[in-house]
Amino acid sequence: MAAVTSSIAPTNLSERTSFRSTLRHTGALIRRNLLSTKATPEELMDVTFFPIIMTVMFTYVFGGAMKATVPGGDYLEYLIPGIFVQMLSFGSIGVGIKLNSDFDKGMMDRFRSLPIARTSVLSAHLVSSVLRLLLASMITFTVATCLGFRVHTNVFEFLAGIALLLGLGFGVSWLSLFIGTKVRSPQAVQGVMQVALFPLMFCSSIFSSVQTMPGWLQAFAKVNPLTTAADGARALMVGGPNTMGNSVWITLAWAVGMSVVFAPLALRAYNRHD
Amino acid sequence: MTSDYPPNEIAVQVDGLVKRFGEQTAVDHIDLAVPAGSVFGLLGPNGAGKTTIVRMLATLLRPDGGTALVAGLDVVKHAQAVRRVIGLTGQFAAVDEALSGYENIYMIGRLLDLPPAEAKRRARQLLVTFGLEEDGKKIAKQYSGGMRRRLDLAASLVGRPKVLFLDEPTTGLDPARRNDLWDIVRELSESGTTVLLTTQYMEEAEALAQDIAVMDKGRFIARGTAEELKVKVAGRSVRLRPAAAADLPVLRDVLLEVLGAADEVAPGTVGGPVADDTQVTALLRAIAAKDIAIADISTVTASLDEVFLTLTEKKEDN
Repeated sequence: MAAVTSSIAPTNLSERTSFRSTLRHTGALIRRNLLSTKATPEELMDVTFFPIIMTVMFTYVFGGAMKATVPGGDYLEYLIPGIFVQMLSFGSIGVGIKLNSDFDKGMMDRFRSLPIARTSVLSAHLVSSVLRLLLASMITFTVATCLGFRVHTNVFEFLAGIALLLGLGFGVSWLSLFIGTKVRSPQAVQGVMQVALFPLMFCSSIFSSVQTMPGWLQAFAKVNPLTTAADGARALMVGGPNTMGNSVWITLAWAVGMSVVFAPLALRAYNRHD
Repeated sequence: MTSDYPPNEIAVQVDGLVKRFGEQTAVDHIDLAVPAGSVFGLLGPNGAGKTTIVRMLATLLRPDGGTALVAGLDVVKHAQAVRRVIGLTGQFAAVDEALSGYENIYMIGRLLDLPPAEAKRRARQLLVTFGLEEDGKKIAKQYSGGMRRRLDLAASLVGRPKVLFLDEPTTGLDPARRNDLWDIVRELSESGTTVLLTTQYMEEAEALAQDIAVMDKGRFIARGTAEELKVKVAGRSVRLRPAAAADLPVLRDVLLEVLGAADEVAPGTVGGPVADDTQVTALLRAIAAKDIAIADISTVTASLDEVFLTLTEKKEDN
């Protein structure tokens, strides 16, 4: 390092931030996100209110007509694992919106003018997102139980199902973070992600059995990751007529694949963002 | 003001700084040096390149050419070290609206590696300094524009920065709030903080900055103190009104002889340009020799607003 003659230069001239400091900084930023959610609980609407509405609507409005078409004949038991898939994938849109508004509102300028590792802001958003999805999972489970949903496998398989879907949500989060660094406004993140996810949600086995769809749509629905995720979750949470097949492994492959593809893209775009 | 620093201590040194956005050159070979402990004003209209300079100095934007040193450290090569000595308050108050004022400052303290107890103490102390202690627990969304600006400034002072960048700190503030903020900047400067501020208001540059650069389209079009800028561009003039209207032609001749030019600037009043202070004395001697009774005498300096308009118009003509 060149000798610095200035009397106002800092004593610490290192360009590195230690791992421990970065953990501390990430902690401070996670706390920020949690406080923000506490102050504006309506941010949780997409992972609480929305899945509840979908559950109630599909169970009571369409459920009667649909129950004959689903394996086992109990529509609520068919639907709830799918609702978890819907909630955990759509719930991951929020993280990209949060990152985008940090750029949009100038918060990122403030963070970047501080001597912290740039990635701590991103990792704090990811961790906060997972915590948010865990909370939402508990709420969804409680509501489902009140409506009459019962786990017929065991607690470990049920938790494995939640973990699998959180893994998929993690992959979707990286996509959302990538979009969040690429588009110009928080609303645009929401728009792009919803355009991508809505067809996937409806053309899947989340709400209705793939067998009831026309042939051309079945071809798409069968390879749709949300179908394999819903099938895997059903096998792990309900079991019985819902056989696992390869769905769990295919879903896991999607979860890992999305992270492997979109994490480097998101990090690259994030680090280059002014 | 600068007494705490060795003489010639430079806080911000910029040489040939360039930033391009596509075809457009936002900052075009800028040189500048800000002595430690002083206040430097970057004055210019929207789009002049002021914010771009600040963003480069605050390590947020990579220069396309030239060098910029803050506290003797290169803003690209030693970005992280530079961040340990600077504070930044941007054009748009960057506070987390969902957090209380207290939590905003506490968070910055933790990000600056203050231990929790110290971060708490600092947060409370800054809330008091900025008159926000009563609203410290309220979320920032409920703050007025002025309160938000103060919170933003408080957040940028958590680390006791040696160099503070203020990007249009008073845009959108009412005059009372603006004066409060000016006082804060003066206090910071007196305590040894080097301040680089950008503004669209000549009045603000004049009130705060010892050294001013007028900027337009990515370049400096004038440099100096407020006084120097006024004199350099619009010059100073003297105006005289004789007690008796009959003396007017004689007075006019005296002005013409001493100042080289004279004009009837208002009914019964003649005026002429003053190039240096000795001319005023020479003029008074000449008038005394002619024994003319003077009812009114004044020297007029152009306002900085006029200077600014003259400068930017001159540039348009080129």
